[in-house]
Amino acid sequence: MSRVAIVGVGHTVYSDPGSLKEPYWKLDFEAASAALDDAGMTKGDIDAVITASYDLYDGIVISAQFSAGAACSWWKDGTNLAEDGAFAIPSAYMKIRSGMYDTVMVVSHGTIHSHDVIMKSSNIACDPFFFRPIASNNLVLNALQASRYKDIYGISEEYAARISVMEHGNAMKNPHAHIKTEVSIAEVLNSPVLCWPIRALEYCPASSGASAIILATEELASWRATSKKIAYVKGIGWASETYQIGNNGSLDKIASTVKAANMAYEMAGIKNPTEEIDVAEIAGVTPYQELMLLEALGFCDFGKAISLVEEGVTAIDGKLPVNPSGGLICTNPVGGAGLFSVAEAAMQVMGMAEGHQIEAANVALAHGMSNVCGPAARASCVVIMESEK
Amino acid sequence: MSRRVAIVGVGQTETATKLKSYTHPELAYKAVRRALDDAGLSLEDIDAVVYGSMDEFDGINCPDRWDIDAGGGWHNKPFIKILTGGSTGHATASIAYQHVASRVFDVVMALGVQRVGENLDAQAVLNKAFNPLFLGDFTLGSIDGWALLTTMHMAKYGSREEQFALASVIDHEHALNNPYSHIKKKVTVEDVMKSPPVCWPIKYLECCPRSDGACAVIMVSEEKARELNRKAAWIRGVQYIVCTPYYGDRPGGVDWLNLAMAGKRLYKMCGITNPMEEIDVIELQAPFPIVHFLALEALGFCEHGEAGKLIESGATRMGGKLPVNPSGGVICTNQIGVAGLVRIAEASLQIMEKADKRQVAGAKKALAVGMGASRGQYQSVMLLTKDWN
Amino acid sequence: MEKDIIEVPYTWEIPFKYTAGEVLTKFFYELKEKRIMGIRCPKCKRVLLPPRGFCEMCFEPLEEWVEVSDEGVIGAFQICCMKFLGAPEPPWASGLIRLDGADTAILHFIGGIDLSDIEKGKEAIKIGTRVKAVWSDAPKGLITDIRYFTPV
Repeated sequence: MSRVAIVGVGHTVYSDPGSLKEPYWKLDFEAASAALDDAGMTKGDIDAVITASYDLYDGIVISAQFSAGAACSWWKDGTNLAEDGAFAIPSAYMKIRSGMYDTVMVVSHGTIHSHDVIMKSSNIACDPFFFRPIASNNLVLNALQASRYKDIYGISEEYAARISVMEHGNAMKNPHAHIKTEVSIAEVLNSPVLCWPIRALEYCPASSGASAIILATEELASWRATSKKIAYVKGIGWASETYQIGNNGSLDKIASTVKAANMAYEMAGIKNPTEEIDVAEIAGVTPYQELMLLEALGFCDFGKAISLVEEGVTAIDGKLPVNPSGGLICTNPVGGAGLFSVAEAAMQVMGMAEGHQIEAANVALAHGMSNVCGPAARASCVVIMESEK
Repeated sequence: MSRRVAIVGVGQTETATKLKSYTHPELAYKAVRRALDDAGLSLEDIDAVVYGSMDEFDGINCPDRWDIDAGGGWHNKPFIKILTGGSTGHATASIAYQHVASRVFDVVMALGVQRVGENLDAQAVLNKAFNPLFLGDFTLGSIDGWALLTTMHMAKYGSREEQFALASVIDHEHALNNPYSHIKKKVTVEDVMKSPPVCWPIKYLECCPRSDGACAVIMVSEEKARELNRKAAWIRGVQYIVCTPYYGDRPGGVDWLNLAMAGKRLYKMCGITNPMEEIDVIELQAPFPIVHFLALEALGFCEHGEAGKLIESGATRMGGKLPVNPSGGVICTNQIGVAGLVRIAEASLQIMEKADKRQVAGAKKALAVGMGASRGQYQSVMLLTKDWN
Repeated sequence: MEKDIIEVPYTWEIPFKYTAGEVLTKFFYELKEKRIMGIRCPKCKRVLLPPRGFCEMCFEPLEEWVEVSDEGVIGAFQICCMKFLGAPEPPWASGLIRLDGADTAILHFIGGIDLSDIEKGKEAIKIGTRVKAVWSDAPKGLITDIRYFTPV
């Protein structure tokens, strides 16, 4: 069966939305152009387009209508997902595997300019009867989940802070990262509490920027092959979770990531993820979430993520580096974050991760989440790619 | 070569300005339950779900989150949400089709839910769809844009107000046969002409209502369809095309070259050489009569400028050569982000001979036409057939 | 660019009315009388709170009402110290509370505690702490007719 390949990757600069005063379609255009350049293609080579964006974050009803042209979809099949950007990858994969198209462009951005907008949009993503009147939003609901996880497994605040320190350290090496500040454990622990147990230096920023990825059939990819490496999509998986976070036990694990990872591992033939995966980019917006994800992705048993981190396995020079990009704690284009992670993972296997390249990164895992109500109705997406052999 | 895909189950809810008996997820559940029953399947049998809605009408950012348990959230099913304006319903179906055609899944549900009745001013929502830097201040909603295209068509081809009125009369006539129709009222050309102008030349009785409603459609692989051995409608071909959001720039003006292009691609895909002779029935997402004109002409059912005559000939009535909208169409029921999916559901019912009083006898090829965002920025066509060849 | 970039300010103001439907309408009328009603699934027998029209696990419609206690146990909580648009003045706390007689937890405010010192707050609110509803004097048929839950 013909494989699906990633043949081009493009990032804009990621920065503070307050300082980057460009409309989102300009960011989409820049990312799409960068991906075309990377692939050695022109817009005419693209058969279909998938964008991923949320209307409320962009402040425009059907905001995708202005991304469409920027992502070169005139006269082509073009769809928009109101999901995290990572979810566009399986949709693009299916477009190609259905035999309808040879090349698909995927673009996603974040431009939201304030945490107030994120939290208000998140509040009105909640049902109007039970969650909304209790001032719920994704930070509040993520904090609820974090407190439960922390309590059940006895995670100390110092351990959580350590994750944040590691992410900030990695981001220093990534030219595309948004927050580039070295922080110490003491600084993290002294930073103000946003929603206990989450502190300011443990929480993702809102970043402005876009990423684009071009996928193509194996035949086209090899025909086009330049000196550049190609990343083949080896496995994809995605899954959802109940909205009813009050159901017993549903909070201690990120169930959608467990299911998405299992689907992707099965497709990729991966039996032992920690041994077989060389680098992972995952969507933790807090250290607690990141720890839970390491468990959900099967990198360790439930409740054992701390040991994994302590043994240095996930460090940038460890056996399975996690978030060499600095992750979402340092770069979080809201809505486009998952595609940022996919792009970063693809760049690792394509040997393009300037400054934070993992040596011999042949198999990479990327993970994204639609997290608009925090753990309520969360959805996860996992993409596994390998470099050309 | 794409894998063959068939529709084997359809579930619709009743429609009304406001369906007060149900919450958002309960409305979704009702459609899903009916579709499962229609296909003889249970929720466990569904491999993945594709959901579509236009958030802003319902006053919920991502209503898919609250609704997720109606789409298997509890069971961690793969679930994604589509948003492309009015064409959301068609896009949802087209992405669901690719889930099966790609061989990633065998049984997939497309689900659309919309509660336009929850908001007290739909045109205020629609205004937020315009580029805020250029168009937002001119209080553009939807109707004024369609009025512009109506006057353009009148000027270019001399089509008359009475001809537009007749298209609405026929939709109203057909809606009387459909238990799921929102507006059930017999009107005459004289009634339409006497009804007050909303945006001249569009009159009150030519305007779609705003409707609450949900629809679910179940698609399966060829192998699964044989195993189920139920009435099925084959998805013989699907095309989706994107153009500029600025309809002043759109090539062809009222000749709708983008839909014409999608139609040509579809006919080629399905081996259709003479659409008027070969296609038995059309379900058209036309919220105003002008869309009947633009679509019938662009899709080659008559020459440009001749749609008025075609409608006057009686061909598009039940019993005519090419019945258009046996369901009563969108002029009588508009669940906006679901309306495109309902077209596909209704076209499938025709092929499956389950359309009861609105059944077109012997329908073997049914065309579903969808469009949305900025007067047809997105256009789509799907051909459903009784036999593959 | 030397000149300041132009930004057009805009606030979306669109009025809505959300339908509670038959199931939640019944729940809110009862809440107004200070009774908290759960709904039982005929198949899995769980008493679900908040009530809902169908069981997400068994996919069955629900109609059997069961009164539950206004006392229960905290299963998860957070203490919010940041001001959000439209949210209460910080600090405030919320949590998932499983009421006696219900099989699932409801989200609500946790109050009646001095949260100005977060360390003390963390002592007062713990996973497993028993709490009781504090009712509004003027119930309106909304979830906020319970003002908050407070440690017993």
